[in-house]
Amino acid sequence: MSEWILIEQLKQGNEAAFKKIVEAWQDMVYNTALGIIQNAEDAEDIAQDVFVQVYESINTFKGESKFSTWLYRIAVTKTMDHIRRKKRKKRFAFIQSIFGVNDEIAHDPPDFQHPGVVLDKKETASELFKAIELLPESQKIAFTLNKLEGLNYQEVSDIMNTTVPSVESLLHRAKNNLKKNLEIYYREKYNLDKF
Amino acid sequence: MEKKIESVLNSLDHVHRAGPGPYFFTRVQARLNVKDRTIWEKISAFIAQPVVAFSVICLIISLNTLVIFKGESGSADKEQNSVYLSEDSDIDTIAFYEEENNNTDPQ
Repeated sequence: MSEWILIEQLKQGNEAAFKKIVEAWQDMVYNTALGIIQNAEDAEDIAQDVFVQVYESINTFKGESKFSTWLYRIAVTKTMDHIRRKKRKKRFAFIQSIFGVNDEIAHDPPDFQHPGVVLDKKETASELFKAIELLPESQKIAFTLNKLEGLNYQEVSDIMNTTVPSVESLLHRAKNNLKKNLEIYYREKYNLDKF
Repeated sequence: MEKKIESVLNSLDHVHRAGPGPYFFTRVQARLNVKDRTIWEKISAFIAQPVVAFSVICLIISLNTLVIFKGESGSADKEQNSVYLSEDSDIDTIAFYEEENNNTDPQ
């Protein structure tokens, strides 16, 4: 069934249309969130929130952009909101620990393994995700959309509401930062004085 | 080292999309149903949170304490003011009644 017909039906409150939309786009939304947040539980949580928002605000979608662009924007926004909330909670927990209120031991999360990576590249991909985690927000988003979702520069620029040259610049800087972060990581890992 | 880093940067080539667990739509529906609660249910749920309930109780106790202390200092101020007044105007109760008696006494 055509995407536009489904959208019109969803605007009428058609549950069956909503189910078809969720089934068609759930992997895209989940994968986008997962690439940025690097945690399966959180990505699932965010993906649910995204579709709840789609259901509630479908009438605001005017069709000026592609439906997938609109969906990516919601997914990226929800993911970044989630990250900021998590950081605030961490800061609050830190302050609590100063006053001896929170005695919970902080656990280091295990290395993130993306389920879609081929077996022989799992370890190197895990190291790459560690480096991606250290990127500034906009570089992280651009890199994830381009590399993980396979979107071209035009599509990334539509989602991020910026220009193609800006996206090129973001990806170029992201690559340089990743190289720098990986060099530091390997130098520490293998205790190298020079590389 | 550069070769290693280059291979790491390319490790996401041919990556497949990951998907959420099974029955994802069921969980989305459940989340939507939770959002459909009435406004009173939402207010009750909000107030029932321990942090909120505790904060409200502290606020009520603080306000009560403020009112009590203000009341006590207010009555102390009134007494002080009546002392000042009587000192200023040289009036005291006994003198007032003596004057009254003098005025009403026919003789």
